[in-house]
Order: sequence, then structure tokens, then C-alpha cells
Amino acid sequence: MDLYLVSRTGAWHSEEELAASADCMPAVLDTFGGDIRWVRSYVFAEPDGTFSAECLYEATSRKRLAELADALQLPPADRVRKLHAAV
Amino acid sequence: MSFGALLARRPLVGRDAELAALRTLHTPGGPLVAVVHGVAGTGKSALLRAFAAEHDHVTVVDGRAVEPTPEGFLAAAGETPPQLLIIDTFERLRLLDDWLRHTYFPSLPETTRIVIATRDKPGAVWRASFGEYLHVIGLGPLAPADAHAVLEQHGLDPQQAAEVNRFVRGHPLSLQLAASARREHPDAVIPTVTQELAHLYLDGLDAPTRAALDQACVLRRVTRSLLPDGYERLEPLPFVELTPEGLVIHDTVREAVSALLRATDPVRHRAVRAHAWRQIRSELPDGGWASVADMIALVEEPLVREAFFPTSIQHYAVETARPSDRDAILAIVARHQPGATTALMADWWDAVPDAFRVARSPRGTVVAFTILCDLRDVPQGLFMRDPLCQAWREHLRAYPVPKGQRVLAARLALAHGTGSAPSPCFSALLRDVERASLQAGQVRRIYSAQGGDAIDVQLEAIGYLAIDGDATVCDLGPESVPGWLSELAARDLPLARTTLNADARELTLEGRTVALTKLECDVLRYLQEREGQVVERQALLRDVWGYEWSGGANAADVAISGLRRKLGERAKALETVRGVGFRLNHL
Repeated sequence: MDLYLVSRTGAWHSEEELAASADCMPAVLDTFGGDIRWVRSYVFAEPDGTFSAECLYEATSRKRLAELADALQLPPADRVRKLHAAV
Repeated sequence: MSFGALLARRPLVGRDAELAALRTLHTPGGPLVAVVHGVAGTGKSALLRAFAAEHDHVTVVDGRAVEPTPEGFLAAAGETPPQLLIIDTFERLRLLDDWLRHTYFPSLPETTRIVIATRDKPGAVWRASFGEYLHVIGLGPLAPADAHAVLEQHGLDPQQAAEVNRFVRGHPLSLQLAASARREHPDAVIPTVTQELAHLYLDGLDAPTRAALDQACVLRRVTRSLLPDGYERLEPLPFVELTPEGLVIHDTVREAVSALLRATDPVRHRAVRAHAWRQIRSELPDGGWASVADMIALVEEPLVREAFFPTSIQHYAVETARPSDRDAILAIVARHQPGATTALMADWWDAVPDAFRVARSPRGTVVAFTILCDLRDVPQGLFMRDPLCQAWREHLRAYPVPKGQRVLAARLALAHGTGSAPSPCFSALLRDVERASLQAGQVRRIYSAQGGDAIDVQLEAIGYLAIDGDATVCDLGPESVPGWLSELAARDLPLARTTLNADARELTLEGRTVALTKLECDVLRYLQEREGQVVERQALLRDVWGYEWSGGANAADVAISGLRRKLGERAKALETVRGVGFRLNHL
């Protein structure tokens, strides 16, 4: 498992959408057979009223992360970066 | 005098800004809908009452006293469109959210203004529905000067008021309880939260009032018939409100009392629930929705309770599918059950599109769907093509339902992300199916499909059983929904149950065994199958005595009299309906 930082800008239109995504996450992750672990997310309020997030995951592959986004009906990520190290 | 009546009289303290915000409803171009939100006990109802007092033509709907269906709401709101419609305790009407936003509110005249009080801040769908016509007013704690004024109104001196408010920090219900507790226990150290305050206040109650409160805490509402000895004692308490349905104890206090009793004396807690069950059970045949809701409140099974009394914010709105949802629904099926099932679901969509219900995300995307309809509405062609329909039909042939009772079909439920595994949006759908089934009249049976272990365990707990062909069935029993709910609520309660052992021709009543003749046993079984319904004398003779019976019609009356004698104290449950026949109520 590697650590990935997934960035999405303006992907959520409201706090309620964010809450719904977070609410669904554990149930959806359960269907991934341990291939992905959600570490935590940092959420930013954008000036246009939308919300962006930087999400940290442990995952077996980028492909599985893309599948997770699809299961959660999230738009494709702006950037998915594999972490080299945490210091 | 009740707390509610007192509240209506007392001046509103410290809500000038909020009242002014509500008055903007009447400014030209101003908002049409105002939503006042805040935690329990923060004074939302008091604010609404003060605003209502400024108007002549107001319709007030209290969410606690309304059946959460469009019919129930319309009955409460009346036919004449109001100038000002106030909906209090809106969190109890979450199930109507969709209908109110899409159907009812748009049907009101443009001169109508709406004020809603609820615990949670309205979500994105409200902002999307009303835009600039929605005004959201958050109700926080009272400012210190206002909190002191409230406490001083209740007889505390300025020093005591300052001392109390240091702990309760302006929370209006806590101020009420603190003032009452302080009067009863002048030397007590005032604790910090409402529950603690409630305990402190409760310690000062006399034993009979406290006993009445223990009994009342398991009830949704208190009526004179549900609690004949306690009603008068509870009415003057400072957290009890008089509503059109009876007395309602403030949720915070009710939950605190119930949790305390359950933890400290579980045997008595069960006994109190059993007492409530018996009384509600006896009122069910004529009590309408209110009695059904009373029984639901006693049910501990979360899938049923949450369907009617949701405790958390629901992120997913469940509604009838729109024509434009077809592709999204079929995409969900293709994702989880590609091939034959997808083609079959397309057939279902073409045949019964109104049977499809969808759960939408806050942005309106379809995240899950289900199919629910009356089995009679399923066209013959689908029975030929869908193996599950064939399994249902086989079972129905082997175990037919009496005429006049309905059979529902819940064909499939799938969520985009999780298929048929448990998830929040899937649970929202299950609750919706449960609710729709409960609201349909005279439902005897619901057929569905096995959905995997995790879901089947949830459904098994409410009576679904696996049958051949990967199907499931939930038989609600002869009394339909009220009887089924009663059975669910009675679980784990110390109730002496009535059972008829037809093979041994024995009836067990409150632990007493009564021997029956074959004829008595047949008559009782026939009536029990139709419990709560009037059975015509001729039908009874035809079905129990047989078509060839040519004796007098009074044969039935003789058998009924014999049964009544054996029922002893429960004889009244077996009624003669003059000129028609007989009716057996719950034994």
C-alpha cells in the first residue's frame, strides 16, 4: 500500500454534499476489500461557494483510487500524487 | 395551567433581532419562507408563537401532531390557504420534505408566507428550491442580559441569576430547568448540561409524579387514556407541553428519564413499556394514525423507528423516479448486475415506471433506486420473464391471502457505490420502502428478493423470511400493519401472549390453557385470520361449517357464545356486529 494525496478543486457545491460523501465513504470502502484506506481529508472553502479537498489515502494502485471516485460519484481528481515520504 | 399555556403568555425575551428578521417576510420582494433552526430547547417555538401573535390569520401545524403523509399534513393545515403558515417541530416531518418543497408550497397563493422551526439548518436542496426567497435564521443562546432577565422573571435574584447563567450559558430550556431546580434546591451546585439539570430537577419531584414521568417517558405523547393516573400530575411540569395530540414531554428530558430508567432499573423499564403496549394495543383498532405512531414509538427495531422518526439529518431525498432517471437507474443495475438483470429492469421500467423510487444526492444525482408496487400492478408479461415473480407466484399459490388484503412487490434495491450492501443511501431506500408499505392500507404481505447476508439480517429482524427462488416474504399477519407493529414492539416485553394451538385444540390466554372443541377451534382460527375485521355470519357458516350446511344461522351464534364463555375476562374481544356478523379484536 502506498500513500496518495488526491486533489479536487470545487468538486462539492455545498457542505451537505461534503457531508453526504463523508457519510457514504466507510460503506463504499467496505466494498474495496482493504485495497484503500482513507487517512483524512483537508477541506477548503472556495470564494465561489464551492469546496475543494486534499484527501490522503493508502491504496494499492491509482486505478483503485479512480474506481473509488467512480463509486462515490465524484468528478475525476485534478491531481493524484504518490507520496515519497512523510517527515 | 400547562407549560405551553404559560409559555404563550410569557413575554419573549431577547429575540428582537430574530423577530425583526421574520418581519422581513412582509416587505415587498422579501423572502417567502423563513426557517428558524437551533438545538432542542433553544426557544424556536416561543419565537414562532410571538410572531404568530402579530397576525390575525395564521395556520399553525405542529410536526409532532401530524401524520407524516401529504393527507395528514393537508388535514392539519386545512383547505383554506393561510396568509401565514407556521410549521413547528419540522424535524418530525422530514419525510414530507420533498412533497412540501415540490408540491405543497408551490401550490400556495403568492401572498402566503411560511415560517418553519426545525433543529437542523436547511440543506442545499432548500437553498436550491427557494434561492433568495429563503431566509435562514439561526437561533443561538440568549445574550447574558436576556438570560438574566428570564431567570429574574422566575424569581431568582440578580446574584443567583448570574451564578446560574454562568453554567447554562443562555440556553433557554436549561434556564427554565435551572430556575425550577434552584427554587427546589437553593443550596445545590448547578451542573452544566440540560440532562444534569433535568436529573437535579427530577430529584425534587414527589414519588407519584416521578412514577408518572417514568411511565410517560416511553410514550410518544401522553393522553388521559394512555396514562389516566399520571396526566394531571404531568401537566404542570416545566418541560411538558400541551399539544393537540396530548401532553408532550420535551425530547431532551424524555430521553434523559428513559435512559436513566433503562440503565438503573431495566426490569421496571420493560414493565413500563409493557403497560404502555397493552394500552396502545387496545386503542389501535379505532385510534387511527395517532395510535399507530404510538406503537411505532415503542418499536425498538431501528429500521422501523428510523423510517418514521428519523433521528439524524437525511442527506438523501427519496422520491418517485422521473422519466429522465431511466438511464441513471439502468447504469446502476449494469454496474452491479450486468446482463440479464439489466435487460429485465428495463422491462420493469417500461411496464411500471411509477414503481421506481430513487434516492438523490444533495446535487440531485440518482445514487440508488428501488422498485415497489402492488403485485396486481405487475403485468403478466413480467411474470413470464422474471424468475423472481414466478417464485412469488408459487408462494402465493401455496399460501394465498384472504380476499381484500393486499400484496406488495419490492423487486430490487441497488445503490451506485455499494450495490445491495448496507450504506447510508441504501438505508434511506429501505426506510422508504418500509414507510410506503406501512402507509399502504390492508397490506398483508410483501415479497422481495434476497439481498446478501448483511441486508437479509436487517430485514429478517423485521419479519422477512427466505423462500424458494432467492425470494423473501414478510407476512404482516391478519391485522396488517398495526398487528405487525404490535408484534415487533412486543419483543422482549414481559407480556403474557395469546396462542392458539389448533392441533391440540388449546388456547393459551395469559398463561391459562383452555380446551376447545373442534368447531370452536375452527371458528376461532377463522376469526383470528381476520382479526379486527367484521366477518359476515353467512361467510363464517359457509367457510367453517361448509357449503352443505343447511342448519339454522343461529349455529354460529351458539358457537360464539360457547367461545365467549371460555374466553372469560377476554370475552369482550369477540364482538357481535348487529345485523352483520362478528368481529374478533386482539385477544
